[in-house]
Order: sequence, then structure tokens, then C-alpha cells
Amino acid sequence: MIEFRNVSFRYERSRGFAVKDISLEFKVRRIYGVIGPNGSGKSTLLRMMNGLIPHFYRGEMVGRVLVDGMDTREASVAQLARKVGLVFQNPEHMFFSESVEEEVSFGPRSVGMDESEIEDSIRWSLEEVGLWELRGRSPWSLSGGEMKRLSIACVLSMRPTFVALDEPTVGQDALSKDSLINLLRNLRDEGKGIIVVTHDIEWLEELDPDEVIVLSKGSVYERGPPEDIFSDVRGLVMNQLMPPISYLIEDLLRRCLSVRSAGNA
Amino acid sequence: MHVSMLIKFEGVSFKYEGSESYAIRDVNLDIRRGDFLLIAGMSGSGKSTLLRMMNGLIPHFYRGEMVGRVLVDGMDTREASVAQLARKVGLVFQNPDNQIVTLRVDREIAFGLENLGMSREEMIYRVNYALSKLKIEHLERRPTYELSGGEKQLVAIASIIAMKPEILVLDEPTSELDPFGAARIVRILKELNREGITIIVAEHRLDLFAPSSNRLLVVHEGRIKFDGDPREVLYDDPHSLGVKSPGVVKFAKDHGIKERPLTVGELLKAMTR
Amino acid sequence: MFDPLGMLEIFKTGQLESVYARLNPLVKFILFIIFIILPLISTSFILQLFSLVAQIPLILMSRSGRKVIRSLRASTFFILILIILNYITTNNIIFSLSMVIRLLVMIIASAIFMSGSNPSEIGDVLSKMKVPTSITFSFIVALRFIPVLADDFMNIVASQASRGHEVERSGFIRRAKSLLPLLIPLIVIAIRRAQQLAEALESRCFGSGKRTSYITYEVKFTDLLALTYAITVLLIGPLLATLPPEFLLLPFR
Repeated sequence: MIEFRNVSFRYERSRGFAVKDISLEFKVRRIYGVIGPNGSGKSTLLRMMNGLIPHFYRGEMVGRVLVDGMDTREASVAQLARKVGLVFQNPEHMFFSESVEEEVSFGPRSVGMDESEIEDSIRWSLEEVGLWELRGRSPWSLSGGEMKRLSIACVLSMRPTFVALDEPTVGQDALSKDSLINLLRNLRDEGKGIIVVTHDIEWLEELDPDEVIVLSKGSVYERGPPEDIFSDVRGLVMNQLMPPISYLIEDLLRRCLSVRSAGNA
Repeated sequence: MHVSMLIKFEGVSFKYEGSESYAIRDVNLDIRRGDFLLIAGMSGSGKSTLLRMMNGLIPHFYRGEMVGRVLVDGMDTREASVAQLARKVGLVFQNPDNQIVTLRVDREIAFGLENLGMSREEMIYRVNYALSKLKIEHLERRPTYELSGGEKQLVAIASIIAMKPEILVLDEPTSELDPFGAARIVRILKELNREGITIIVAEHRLDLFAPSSNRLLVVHEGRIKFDGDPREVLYDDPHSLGVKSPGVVKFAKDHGIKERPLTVGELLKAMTR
Repeated sequence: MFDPLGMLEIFKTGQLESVYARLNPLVKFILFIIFIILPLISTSFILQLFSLVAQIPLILMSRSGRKVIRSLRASTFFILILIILNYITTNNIIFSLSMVIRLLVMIIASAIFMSGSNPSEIGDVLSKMKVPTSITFSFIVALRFIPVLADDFMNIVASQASRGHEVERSGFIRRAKSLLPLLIPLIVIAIRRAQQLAEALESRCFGSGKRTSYITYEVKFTDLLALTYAITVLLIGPLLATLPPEFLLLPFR
């Protein structure tokens, strides 16, 4: 479980707090969707899960973030990487090896996994994302969707309990986005906790997460099952978010019909 | 009424140097003056290649084997230089960071004009024109490194609009923008189209662009699979071609609505009849 | 006392509003060149001292007083070493002092110019002086992309850290090896950016003919004043250089 207990954080050069007094829990076997306008603290939230904050990004931190009981201020990023795998937006920020297989082995080696485990881990993570056949290829020779899946494999190979993804659908085409949904659902069913930060609301609707969390100006505005959150059209629009089209249409229809009947009365 | 063919692809195929397969194959395309053309398709389908053939980057900047010819307002792109073609065809690329070359927004917008050897009075006029068209007058003296992703995208588009090309080609111009910012771009393009500029956009976000376009092209594995009315193709199940139906289309289909709405407005009209 | 970064601080281009900053960049450049040439006319101690003092109005005009003092403080160690070395080799204290002051004059002149001009201005001056477009342009583009690549690097470091990567502190070879996961992605990304940039430039007709200028600079009264000052200094300097250093001690006799 990842626990945020009354967490606030202010970046070193900033005056305002990026996240304010956040208390949240993330459990395994669940998919969480995190949405919010620019500057709402989404990226900051992710960075606090694997220790990048406070170890790499300096600033003022209040409260505690516990990952399976480990306090992120005390554990190192390398230790936390074995619990929380953070996948960034641009896969090309990671690649430096000659082959896909070598690339995937980097994580396990860096965090000090046992040699005996590493080989199995590589195979499992590549098969999980469907890239085992391409393991001899150079990472840069892959297509956009394949690169995205490779970046996820690089994190999976450390066998984390949680996988957190920052805007995984940016720049991906329709087929790639579909396969991402399947992958995330499989990972959840295998016992992992998945946290996705995204602004692609239609894709999120299709992913059908167990819970949606709406961030606004550093605080949690709302959280709950997707149906509840997406139906709150007014709340979403007020926070500069678009609800999925189907919810928008239903909301508008309801209003049209109520106006109609009010007109008839 | 005579409708002029602005861009003509005649039996065009292209293979990048060092590649084994053709990026695009047997493309025949007539783009008319005043079109608002939307190009859809998976990544790697050949969309970007098509765009780069419109201003001469292919074959002048990218080497490879080209079959057939592309005519832009009568000019053969194999003979005319990119600089000559760029006066008619303005190309806005996907990543705004890799297009912005100067340190201040107004200088950036004037950059292309300086390259064209324009007079200073004309440049000042055009910079103001571009700033007001995109409603970014407040960014005039902003240093470029202070801009957000969305602002950079607007500046990149403004820089090309200032050159007043007859044809505006954009490669995924809304990737950095949220839905509201993206809708704004669509409105601006629609305005320019009404003023007579031919618009060609390669995009994934069909829900936003389809209603404004008069023509939709679906590219798949280097070939044009569909070329025609957006309504027809979107209601025809393009999913097999890697194209995602807009939410409105899905809703209309799910609820058995006969008219083929593309916008929420059209949908509501159809439903409240 | 030994602070290499502090020494470099004066060269940072700033956006400080000052009388100097508002001068025509060509005039700023001429001032800069004159104060580089002036101390080189002769080794006369009086000339060096004069050059230093003559820069004080410029320092005030550009509001870089604090910066200059700070960097001088940071360079004290370096300056002392220079004086001592010079004295050891020449056994002439006056000469040693002259050489050091000459160096300081040139450094201060560069600092005033750099911190009082923004990069775009410097680019404009270079192109006005018929430096080939490719060079001036490379200069501006490099400055434009430094923050972009710095950002990329930060993201790379964060990505690799999230895979458990840490930079090794001990052993030269181990340290170099541990930098590879950071440098290779950076190089790949930089090359990709460069390629896309080249495409974009072609598409905006770069290099296709004679370029005109969007930004022009006026010549104002303050510019003429500054030029007059510079020329006067340039004329007085050599005259003073003919005086012997003992001249300075006259008021004390």
C-alpha cells in the first residue's frame, strides 16, 4: 500500500505549494486514474511515490509518504524502485543499450537483484508487454507504441508491486492505446497496483479504473468510482476538465428535457 | 465553376534511403483550393511522409527513391527548391520546441519573414497580424524559454501564418494542448480556411477536427484507403484501419440514431426531434 | 578565497535595466573593444591605472558594481598568485602590478559588455559586422537550446534514477561508466532535436537569399556621448603612457 499522510510539498524555487495536505491510499489489485488541470500537482504526486521527491527534487516537504511501511524520506530511490515503478512520458529518456533485452536488464542490475532472478525477470516483463520476440532489436528501431511498451517493461523487470504511469497515451495511436488498456488490466489482475496520471479522458473512460481522483490546485477535489466522477459534469468543467463525451451528452440531454418539460408546464 | 487543383499527387511512391519498404505507395491525390483536409491513420502509416512531400522536404531534404510526381500549383517538387515551395506551403511540425529558434516571441514570428528578405514595415505588419490571429498579443515580448508547451505550439503556428502561405499544413498541432486549447486551434484554422487558405492537418483527435473538415483521408500502410466525406468514413467503422471513432459517433451508433452527427450539437438536434 | 564559480559570475548575461543596457549594441561593442585595446597600447603603469579608473563610469552606468566587487573578491587568490609569479620572473613590482591591472581591465570590460547585453543583441551586432550568418545563428540557437537540453537532462536523470541508477563517486572508470545511461539518451535526443530543427529551418526558407532585419537600433544622444567618451579616453591614454610612473608620487613630495 502507498499511503500519503497529510502531505504537502513546495519546490525549492517556488513560492506556492505544489500539493497541499494530501491524504490518500493506493492499494494493490486496483487501477487508479488521476486527473486534473495543469499545475494541479499530478506529476508531483507521482514523484513522491518513488522517492524522487524529496531525494532528487529539493524543497520543503510536510507529512509522510509510506510505501509498504517504508518512509520515502528515509529509503533511497533505488530501494523504492523495487516497490514502485515509475514510467515517464518520453521513453527516449531511458534508452542507452544495444538491445531491448539489455535495456530491460538495467533496472534489476542497478537495484541489486539476485543474478538468478534477473533472467527470469527479463523474460517475464518482455512477454508481459509482448516484446519478447523483439528482444534482440535496438531500442531506437522500435515503433512509437513498442517503445512505450519497452519503457514499461524496463520498470516491470524490477518486479515492483505498484506501477505508476505519467501520461502514457501522449503521442500514441489508437491501437497502441488499446493494447495499453489490456496491459494495465492484466497487471492489475496479476496483483499489482496501477496508478495512471492522464488528461486523455476518453481513454480513461475505456480503461474503467476502480477509482478516479481529481486533483485541483494541489488538493484532492473529488474521488470515487468513475461513474460518479464523470457524471459530475459541472465539477469537472469548473476545474478545466472535459468529461467523456457520453457523460456530457447525457448531462446535456437531461437539461434539454427538463427545460422542455418546464416549458410545457 | 472552375475549381483549381492546388496540390496534385500523380502515382507517387517513396522509399526512404536505407529503408526496405515503401513509406507511401501509389498515391493519387487532388487537393483543391479551399479544402480543409484531415489526414488520419496510425503512426508509421505514411502520414508524415505525405506532408513532407508537399513542401519539397521530400525529395530535397530526405533522400530516397521517388516514383511519380507532386505538383504544387503547377510546380514540380522535384525541380523547385524547398525555399520556393515554402512560399506557398507553410509546414508546422509536431514538436514546437524543435521549431523555435530565437529568444523572443516577436523575433521568432519575424524569423521566416527575415529569410524572405521582406521590408521592415511589412514584417511589423505581419507580426502583428499573426499575433492577433492567434490571440497571443500578450506574448509579444516574452522570452521563448518562458513559454508553456501550449504557448509554444501557438507561437510555432503564428510563425508560419505570418508568412501568409496559400496552403497551411500541420502535423499534429494539438499534441501539447488540453481539449480547450485544441478547440481554439480548430477555430483559428476554420477562420483561416474561410478566408481562403487551404488547410491540411494530420491528426489523431478526430472528434475535434472532423466537424470542421470537408474531406477526410485515411492512410494505412502507405496507401490511401479512404478519401471523402468525413461523415461517411467515420460511420463506416474505421477501427480496422487504426482510426478511433469520435465519442459522438460511437454514441450515435449505440443509440441507433439515423442522422450522422459529428458534433454534440448535431447529436442533440437529432435526438430531440 | 578560492572560488572558481564566483569568478565566472560576472559574465552571466543579465536583463538588468540600466543606462548602459539601453545603449545601441554596436556602441556597447565599440566601448568593449576600446577598453580591450587601451591597456595594450603600452606597458606603462599609469596607462593601466588610467584604463581601470576610466571604466568606473561604465561600471556605474551598467549597475554592475556589486558584481565586479564580488568577482574581484572571488579572484583575490588568483590575482595574488599572478602578482607574485610576475615579480619572481621579472623582479619588477611596478611591472607586475601593471600586468595584473591590465588583465583586470580586460576582464571587467568583457563583463560589462556581456552582462549589459542580451544574447539577441550580441547576435545582431555580430551579423551587422558581417560575421557569416551560420556563426551568429549557431550562437543564438545554442543559447536557445541550452535550457531545453538542460530540461531533457533533468528528465533523463529522473528516469534513470527511477530504475535504481546512481552516479558512482569512486574510481574514474566506474564513474565514467555510470554516466553513460545519462549521456547516451542526451546525445540521442540532442541529435533528434537538431534534425527536426534543420527541417523546420528549411521550411522557413532559411539560407535561401539575402536576409533583412526585423529589429533595428536607433542612435540616441547617450550613444553619441558614450562614443565621445570612448574616443577621448583613447586619445588621453597614450599621452599619459609617456609619463614615468614616478609621476604619480609627485603630490606626495
